[in-house]
Amino acid sequence: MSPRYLFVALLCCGLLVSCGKKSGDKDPMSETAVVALSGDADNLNPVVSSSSTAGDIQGNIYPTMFDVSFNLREGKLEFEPSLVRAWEFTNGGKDVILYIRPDVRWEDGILVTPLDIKFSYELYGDPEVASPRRSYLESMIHTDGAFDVDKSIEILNDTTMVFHFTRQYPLQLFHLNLSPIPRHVYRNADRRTLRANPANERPVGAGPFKLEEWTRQQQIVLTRNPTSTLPYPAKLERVIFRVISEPTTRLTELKKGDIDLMQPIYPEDVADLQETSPDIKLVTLPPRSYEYIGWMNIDNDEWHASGKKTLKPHPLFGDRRVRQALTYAINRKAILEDQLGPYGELAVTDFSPIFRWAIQHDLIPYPYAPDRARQLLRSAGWSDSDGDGLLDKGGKSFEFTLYYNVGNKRREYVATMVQENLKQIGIKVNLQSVEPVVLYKNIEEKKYDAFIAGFSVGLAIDPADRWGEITSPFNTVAFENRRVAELLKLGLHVPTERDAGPFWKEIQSILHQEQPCTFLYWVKDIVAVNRRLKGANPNILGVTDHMWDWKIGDPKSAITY
Amino acid sequence: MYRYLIRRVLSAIPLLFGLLTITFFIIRLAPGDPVSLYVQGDVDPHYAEDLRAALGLSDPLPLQYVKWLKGTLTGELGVSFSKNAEVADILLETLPNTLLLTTFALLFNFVLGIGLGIITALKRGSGIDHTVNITSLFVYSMPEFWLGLMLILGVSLQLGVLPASGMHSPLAKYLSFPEYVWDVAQHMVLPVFVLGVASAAATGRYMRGSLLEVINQDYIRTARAKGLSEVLVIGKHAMRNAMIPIITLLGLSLPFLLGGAVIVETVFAWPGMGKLTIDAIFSRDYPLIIACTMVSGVMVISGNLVADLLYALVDPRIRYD
Amino acid sequence: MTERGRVPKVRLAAGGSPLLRFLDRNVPGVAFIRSGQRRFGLLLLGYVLAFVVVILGAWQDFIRAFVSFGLSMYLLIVDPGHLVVFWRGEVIEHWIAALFSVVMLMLLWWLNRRYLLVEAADAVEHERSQWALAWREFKKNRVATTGLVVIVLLYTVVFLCPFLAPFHPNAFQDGIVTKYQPPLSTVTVLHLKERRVAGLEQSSLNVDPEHAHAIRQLIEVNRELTEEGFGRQRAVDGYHVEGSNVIATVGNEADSISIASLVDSDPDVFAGERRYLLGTDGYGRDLLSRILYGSRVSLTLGFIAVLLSVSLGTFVGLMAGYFGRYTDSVLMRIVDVLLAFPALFLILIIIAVFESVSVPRILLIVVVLGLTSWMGISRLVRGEVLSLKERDHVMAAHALGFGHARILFRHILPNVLTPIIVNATLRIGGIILVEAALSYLNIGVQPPTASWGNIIFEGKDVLAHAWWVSTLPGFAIVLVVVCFNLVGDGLRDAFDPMLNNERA
Repeated sequence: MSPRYLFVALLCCGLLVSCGKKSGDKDPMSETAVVALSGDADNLNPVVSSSSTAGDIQGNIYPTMFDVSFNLREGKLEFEPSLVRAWEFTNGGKDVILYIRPDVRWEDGILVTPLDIKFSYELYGDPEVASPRRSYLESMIHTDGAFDVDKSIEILNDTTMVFHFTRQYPLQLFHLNLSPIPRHVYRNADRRTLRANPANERPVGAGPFKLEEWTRQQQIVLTRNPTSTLPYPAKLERVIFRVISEPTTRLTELKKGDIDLMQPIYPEDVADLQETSPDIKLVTLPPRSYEYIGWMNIDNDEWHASGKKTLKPHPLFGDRRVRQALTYAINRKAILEDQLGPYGELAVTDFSPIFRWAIQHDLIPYPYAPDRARQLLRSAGWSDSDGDGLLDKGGKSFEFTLYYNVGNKRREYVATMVQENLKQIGIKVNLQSVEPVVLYKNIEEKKYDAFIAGFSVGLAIDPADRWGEITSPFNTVAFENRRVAELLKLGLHVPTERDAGPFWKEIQSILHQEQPCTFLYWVKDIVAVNRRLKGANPNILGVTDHMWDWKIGDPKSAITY
Repeated sequence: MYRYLIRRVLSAIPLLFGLLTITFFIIRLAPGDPVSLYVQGDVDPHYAEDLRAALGLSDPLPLQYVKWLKGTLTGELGVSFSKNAEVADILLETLPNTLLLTTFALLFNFVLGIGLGIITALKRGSGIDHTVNITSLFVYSMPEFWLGLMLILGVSLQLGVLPASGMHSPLAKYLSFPEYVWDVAQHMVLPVFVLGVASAAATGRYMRGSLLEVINQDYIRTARAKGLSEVLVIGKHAMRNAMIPIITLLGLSLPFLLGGAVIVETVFAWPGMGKLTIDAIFSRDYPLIIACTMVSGVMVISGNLVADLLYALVDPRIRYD
Repeated sequence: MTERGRVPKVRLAAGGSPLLRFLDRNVPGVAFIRSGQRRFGLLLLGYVLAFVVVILGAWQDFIRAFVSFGLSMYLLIVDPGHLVVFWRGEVIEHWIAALFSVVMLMLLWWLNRRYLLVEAADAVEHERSQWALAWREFKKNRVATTGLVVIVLLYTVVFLCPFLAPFHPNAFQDGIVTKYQPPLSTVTVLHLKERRVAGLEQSSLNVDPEHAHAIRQLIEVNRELTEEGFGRQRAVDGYHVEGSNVIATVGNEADSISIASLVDSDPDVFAGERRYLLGTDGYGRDLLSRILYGSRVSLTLGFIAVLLSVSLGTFVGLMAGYFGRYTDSVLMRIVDVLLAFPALFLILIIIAVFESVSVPRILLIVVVLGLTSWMGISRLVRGEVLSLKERDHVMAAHALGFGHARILFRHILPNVLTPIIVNATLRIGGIILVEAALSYLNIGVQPPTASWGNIIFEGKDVLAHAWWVSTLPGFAIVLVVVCFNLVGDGLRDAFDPMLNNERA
């Protein structure tokens, strides 16, 4: 066989194999929007999925209990009817009666009933299923430590059900907003392998879209669900979610006009985009995640050695003055300006600025003041007594290793900057980047003395995980403060969110004073929207919020393929 | 011959088994937790334990091993942690992509390499010979990823000719078949070139050396003396022997066909085995890591076998008993 | 530098003035040029002059390094308790650079002189060994010798980079102004009177009064030696004088600096320029300095890793080949299993496993690269040993009842050495490429330490608007690998003159 024939033959073979599903028909693309994301969905079953991409997609396939929005001016979540037509609180707020819409059908024509909802909650609460959202059910009725679905959920009739809680608290409706999945599809599914159930790949939903195709690591295609009544079939024929992990490629495609909506956009690309692509509108989302440098507050070696009993201050960072000094010595403003510019905000504490009503406004962020830092360190007993250029105390030099995750450029920048800044005041920092799977585990187990990490806050204030028990995996720096513990108890047991305001403000003052970690900055995500895409409303809840109202504005500029 | 073949295949089984067992234990000894990638932000702190139990990671190690062994022997590759799908399905999705890339790279490698080898051997000492030799040396000494980046910089970013990464355009699905082929072909050019060119330089050097050695031998001189045409002498008599080392090289390149090319796939974001393996390792996706090792182990072992057999096929002096 | 020991002996050009004869003896290279070996002589002379230029260019640091070294040695002797003051990498690398340049100069001078003297005493070439023959053969190969010269120069750079690099490789300040400067660009700097961040107070120093003076002096010298150089400067995008203040623009902001805090009130004096020959990276670090320092990682790492893999491979190969039977089959099965792993995959796994053990990443990579690349060599050695075993002299040694160790190391090893050396040289290039690839996958040498691979990695996402970051270190890699390949090919041809020069 001559090479040429071989060439053609192989090309054809390869193409046939790699694209067996390809259909020959041409599709009018004027009804299609393209969304570019950096990562694939991990799963399309809302019970077990945990990636943000999955979140963006599921909300448009599966029925949502409420139509949630976040009121930025008020700084709180608001709930509108969706699958739940109406609701009322009884029994002193401990019981919630939900009236379910009678006219919502799954894609396959079967009605969505309270039975589906109850079945789904049973899955969410089953440890064998291992749902990341099992904690939503924590304040419902438990028997012997396990979620008791029959006692928690009572079905009154085909359209009415009651949820029983053990207490009244501000987040009840939020916790009732878990998407149901069809009982008739999953009834016989093995709980343990639910996350790999083949049905997850062809979800049966009831939302305005349905899944047309999912090619892993490449794309997820949604099409209009013509039978949806939640709220109605999508206005667009089709939305394609493309997974493009390479930032450069993503940007190129965006500039070419092949992408209608894209997240994330990096701050360093903004100027270029604004200059070269007038068709692209950039939307800045309010900050929900922050990054910080964690300083281990307790002597973690002793703590681990004693079986998590002995609590002694950490030899380096146990002293509040040292932690304050570190914050003074790190030029956070320079880091912020270089890395985020206007798309970041100096973090004072971990209470997100979006909760305006809860923010303690009179705290002044620590400025960059190396001299002040040195004073504080001296008062804490650190000075260079042997002349090696490093601070020392009791014969030990001030030296530590700062861990951060490999491949995260911004954190690498922070780490490098911290190393350089602290060198100026006589502290030696060794940098160590580690794989995320290792980093997160060791941070949660409190194995690292110093590390750079980030945290995403929920849409309602709940600082208990972060600053409560030392054993909580998210209290990564092992911070413990009696007053904070009291305030947490007070703040979490108020009937409405607003009542907790004074308690949250006091916690912030304490955190600011104690500096359990050095808070760096809040990150404001940037979303790019092509102006031809109308009705897009990327907001703090996600970039695909109300995707069913999207439209392609000018058909002439449609992607021609 | 057949006995030899059977013996080799049989001896490959413990080899493969050892390989997989080592992998099984090594990756579990490695620090890092497959579930920690999920335990982020505002999820339940207890989620990690639930998930570990669900994935069978809280069992004692020997039990995990027995379970895995049972699965493997019955042809069950398990479920990927990070992708929540059957490992077999993932492989079926990825392997064709890799095969497409590597087949062409291999073709490019051998066509270019053999061609250059023949030309430089015949025109030995000429300007062409020197130019090709020097260029080969430089190409051969280049880091693949750097060459890739430079091509992306020059060809894709500056000239804007070829796509910088990926396997096809976003909406390739809606293209007609010829357009689709054209689209993928465009995406393939750069990765195939980078993958193939360095090996082509090596192949070329081998080919040149081997052909030169043959040309100087008596029987070629005899053939020439008999007045046979140069084309016939080189094409028929010399090539047959000169190809022997190249054939071996071809056999040894087989693992690369399915194993993929980690670096090039990463640079060009090609959705193939190499990239899959890297992702699997970084997310500690144990079942997927083992499966990737298996694929590439099988390919290496069979590649060696094929190389030996090919050798016997081309060179009748070699016999295996 | 052993190859210097094999410089050709020179027949002195007859006559000449006393000055010329003095130069013959004391300036390496001159005698060679005069006696007709111009190429070699010029190379030698150039090499020596390069040292002189470097020393003159960095004379302040050069002297400080010696002061520091001297004081340290003095303290080490009179009062060994102060190790901590000077036992620091940044200080020691300066000592090494200073000592290296002096020792090299003296060595060259001495060798030059010695060979002239030897010439006078004994004109007969007595070295006729295989090595001498190979060297003679190698020298004929111009391309290979050029490769060797470049490699020698590069290794010299490795030692001298504290003196050669214009800036500290990790130093950056005012990133907003200095980042992503293209090659050959300059930025404006304002010279400040005081350091931007005051140094540590000497007052807290707790020193032995007996040697207080020496210690204080040493601390001061070391501080100057390790000073990164930007402490009294401030990089700005532009400035203008407004009354008693200088208004500096930095990014979008304007900053007011009092003239009193600058070195002088005259703009010509307080403002200057800083030039970046190869541009800067995303932090504003000088790329040239980083590439120079990066050579240390690539070159030493490649060398040590190959040494490790060759030793291990040779050992295993010797054992398997010599003892045969079960030893052979067990060892070769291990080799088979390891070869069946995709190499990069094996490396990834091992690095992941040992990452948590607190070994420096560089060391880990050296070991991993060494441990994952010995299989080829062991096969090669095994093959050689198998055939050597049957040779007469080995049989004779057996018959004489020599021990295994003696036979192995006296009769077999020397005979397999040449293929090993050739293979090792060719392998260094490959290892350097693998190290770069690891850095590219972000599991290489830990930042901020510069290595060529991780500089390329840092630049890959900004290829579109800062092409130089990724492009330039790549050339360095290509240069080094090409040279090693040239030398390797040259060595192979030299060791085996029978082998057709054209082979492969």
